[in-house]
Amino acid sequence: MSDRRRINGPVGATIPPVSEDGASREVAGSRGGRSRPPNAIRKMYLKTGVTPSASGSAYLEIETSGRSGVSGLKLSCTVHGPRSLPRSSPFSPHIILSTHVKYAPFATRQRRGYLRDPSERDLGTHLEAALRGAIIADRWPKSGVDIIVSIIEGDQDRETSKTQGDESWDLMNALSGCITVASAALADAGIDCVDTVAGGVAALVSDKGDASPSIVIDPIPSEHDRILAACCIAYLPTRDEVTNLWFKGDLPASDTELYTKLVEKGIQASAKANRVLVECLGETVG
Amino acid sequence: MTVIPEATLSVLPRADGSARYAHAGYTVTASVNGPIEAQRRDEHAFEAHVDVVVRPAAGTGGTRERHLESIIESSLTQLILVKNFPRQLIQIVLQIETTPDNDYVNTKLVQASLNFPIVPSLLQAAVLALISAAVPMRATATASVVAVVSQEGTKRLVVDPSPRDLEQAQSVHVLAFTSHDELLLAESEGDFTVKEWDGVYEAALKICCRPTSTKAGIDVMLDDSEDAAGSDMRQFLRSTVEAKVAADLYWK
Amino acid sequence: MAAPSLSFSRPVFAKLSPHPYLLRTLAPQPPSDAAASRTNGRAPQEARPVHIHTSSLSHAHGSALVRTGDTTVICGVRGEVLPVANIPQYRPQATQQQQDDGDERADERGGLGRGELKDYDLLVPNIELATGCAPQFLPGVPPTTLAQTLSTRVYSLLHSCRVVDPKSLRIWYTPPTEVGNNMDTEEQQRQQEEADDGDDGPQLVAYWVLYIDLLFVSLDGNPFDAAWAAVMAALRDTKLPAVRWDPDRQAAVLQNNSQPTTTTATAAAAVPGQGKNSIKTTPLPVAGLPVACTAAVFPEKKHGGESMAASAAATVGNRHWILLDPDRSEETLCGETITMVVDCSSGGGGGETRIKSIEKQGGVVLGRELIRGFAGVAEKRWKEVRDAMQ
Repeated sequence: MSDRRRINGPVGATIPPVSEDGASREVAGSRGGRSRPPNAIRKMYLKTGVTPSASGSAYLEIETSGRSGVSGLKLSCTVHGPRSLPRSSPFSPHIILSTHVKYAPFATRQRRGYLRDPSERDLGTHLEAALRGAIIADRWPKSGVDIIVSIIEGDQDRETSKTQGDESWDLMNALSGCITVASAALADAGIDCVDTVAGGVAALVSDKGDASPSIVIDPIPSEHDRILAACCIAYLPTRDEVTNLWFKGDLPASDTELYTKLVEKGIQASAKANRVLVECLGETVG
Repeated sequence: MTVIPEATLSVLPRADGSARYAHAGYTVTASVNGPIEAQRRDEHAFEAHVDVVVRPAAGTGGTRERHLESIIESSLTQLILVKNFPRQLIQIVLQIETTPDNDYVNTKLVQASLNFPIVPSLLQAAVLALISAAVPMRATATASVVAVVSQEGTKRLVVDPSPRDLEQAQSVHVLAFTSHDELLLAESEGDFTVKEWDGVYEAALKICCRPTSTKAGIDVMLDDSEDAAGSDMRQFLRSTVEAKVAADLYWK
Repeated sequence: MAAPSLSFSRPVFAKLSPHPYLLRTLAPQPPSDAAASRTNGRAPQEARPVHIHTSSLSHAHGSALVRTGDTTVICGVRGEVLPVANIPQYRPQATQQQQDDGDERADERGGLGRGELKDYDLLVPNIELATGCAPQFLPGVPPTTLAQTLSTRVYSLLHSCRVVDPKSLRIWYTPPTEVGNNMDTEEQQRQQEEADDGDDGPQLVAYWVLYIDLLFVSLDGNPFDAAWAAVMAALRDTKLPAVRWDPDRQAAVLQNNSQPTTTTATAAAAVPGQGKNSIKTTPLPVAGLPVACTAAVFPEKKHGGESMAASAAATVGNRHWILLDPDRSEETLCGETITMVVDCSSGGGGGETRIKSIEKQGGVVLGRELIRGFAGVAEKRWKEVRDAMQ
């Protein structure tokens, strides 16, 4: 059933052009290896107030990894509220967050539709969990706030083949960006938080040259041969609290230390992002 | 194809007002209900909300119908004395019944682009239905569509162009005037100059705003010697309503 | 007004009663000698400056970011391949030669019927407002009437202006020798075809479909002008990859520079791409540069629907101002709007201004003279936007 509220494309299916000889060329060509030290995050650019008509807004751009054809993350976030809940909704003693994460149709290698898909809903749920822990929710009873993140460009390599299934790892990076940008927008909207929350990603990767897998922060899937596991963390630095933890991958159950290490590195990445966040907010105030 | 417009008033028994209008291959039935209570979200504290719904001849409406609705709505809001009915709703439903078929033109069911020639029929049907519903109005309106077709190097104006003409037209224009000779609506697309638009304006003005003969009745004099084809829309509107009133008052 | 002790600051007054506030700034009372201006500080016929950035998105084939004041819109153009086998009502048009001839005939006729572009839905523009770009546009609801109307207007204008030539969207395949299928190779293919029998000539196997997606980051009035400028800038920025049709896979295959090119593909304007094994691309030819210019009419009396007595009365208090490039607060106060799309690029810039579209609705103030005069305003705007595009 076509969407009659939008202009639909041709009835027949359209396909993006395929690459010459499948995956092999791509893998050989675009593997550049990691260009940063394992515990450094990419440079990011954060700016608040991009949407003046919203209560708060922010724009986050994470630098591309130096090679072209690899896109960095570009996110824009708007916050609307706090405002009164509709009459129909039941009484709530605290503020109700509604988060909405949407990829733009041109954000990824495959064109995205306009309807939210499950992964986008997933991101929204994680984002809500991460922010709920930071907002002082009982200051606004009976009210709601809308937090909308548009992913203008995903963190994805255009030329990498899909074989590795790195889409799922991209979600991690996207979520960490969403958390950071939403936190900045919340601060811009003047909504009281216990602390600024920022997202960070750490991953266990194995590269061809290395014998044993190593832990890196802020990984780019295309820079590594294989990502074994990754975790995305939302962290409040002054309280030393984690508000959201998302762990994914394949780890030996016996090695519990590896889990702790990965979380530690995630916190480290988050703290680094937080520094950028605080600096940006400081500039706005000062 | 009919060049002379045809209209019937009050065709639907249950609506407050209705009209069927047929012109240039298009048939549109309009129904008007109102003023009625508006839904909370449509309610306006100082004026009536005019809600226009356009239904295509086949299938459900898409983005194009929404665009048509917004054009018709903004025009009718100017005509209806909306200030007289605060917090009320005037609902107008326009059902397109037939569209001109043409073997030479590839007609596709769903097209998003604006369908210019239907606009006058929609507007005319809506105005007639509003009269039939006795909704107070500041003025009535008449509309026409004019195409500029270039043939063998010369450009000529075609009033009420056929689908075939539209295929070959350089530009298509829809103009609507109120009964005070004010330009109410102007939509044009294609490729033209200010001068060409002026010519189109003249032609449309002639069709829409010919001074009405005060003579009442059916024996309207259509001046056939007029070179610009097309009918006198204002006279048509008047005679249609007069005929209806005469028929309704037959028993007297 | 209230007692002097109860005076409001300007923003509060503007919010409480916007209409008298804007009226007072546009028509200052005699004692004050302030120049007439709008509440946003602009002169009535002053538009916001336009800033355009292109090629900032890497997944789209063409992209642009347009900012006018607080209205920001991003446009991404992406091409996907539509094999003719997937078109339900495909009407094959024998060979390339005949097809090109047919096009020329159609061009001579100057018809508005756009043939392939419309019949096969090769251009798919959509506007997304539900990004929280303004408080009334929140996600989770279907596209608003405004979003649908804007999409339709962009769609209509794309076709009526013939911005994109359907010829540049065709993908050809020559059965025996695998040749490039780029439009730049048409000449050679035609020669080849003449040598061969008609049956072996290049076949039209697929079309490019251009998905034109617009995302509003921030909306502060006049969405159409910004959206249209973004569409034009993105289309001008669009570079479609060179593809070769693979009949076995029934798919278009990207050609890259490292590959030894076949004999006929040399004419293609290969842009030095990014990266080592970049894909060869060709800029999409875009005809003309239509620019949209919108203005709203601000009436001295609130909303055109005067009472019956007033409409009969003389024209006291019937002044009006034409506000170019209205912002959001002005849009809510104005009923009548006009959008004129002009293109001054034909004839090397010195030619006559061609009007591509006029959309005037919602009022009776703008008559013939004012619309004629507005063409001059639109020309001025055209120059501003053109300069921003370069």
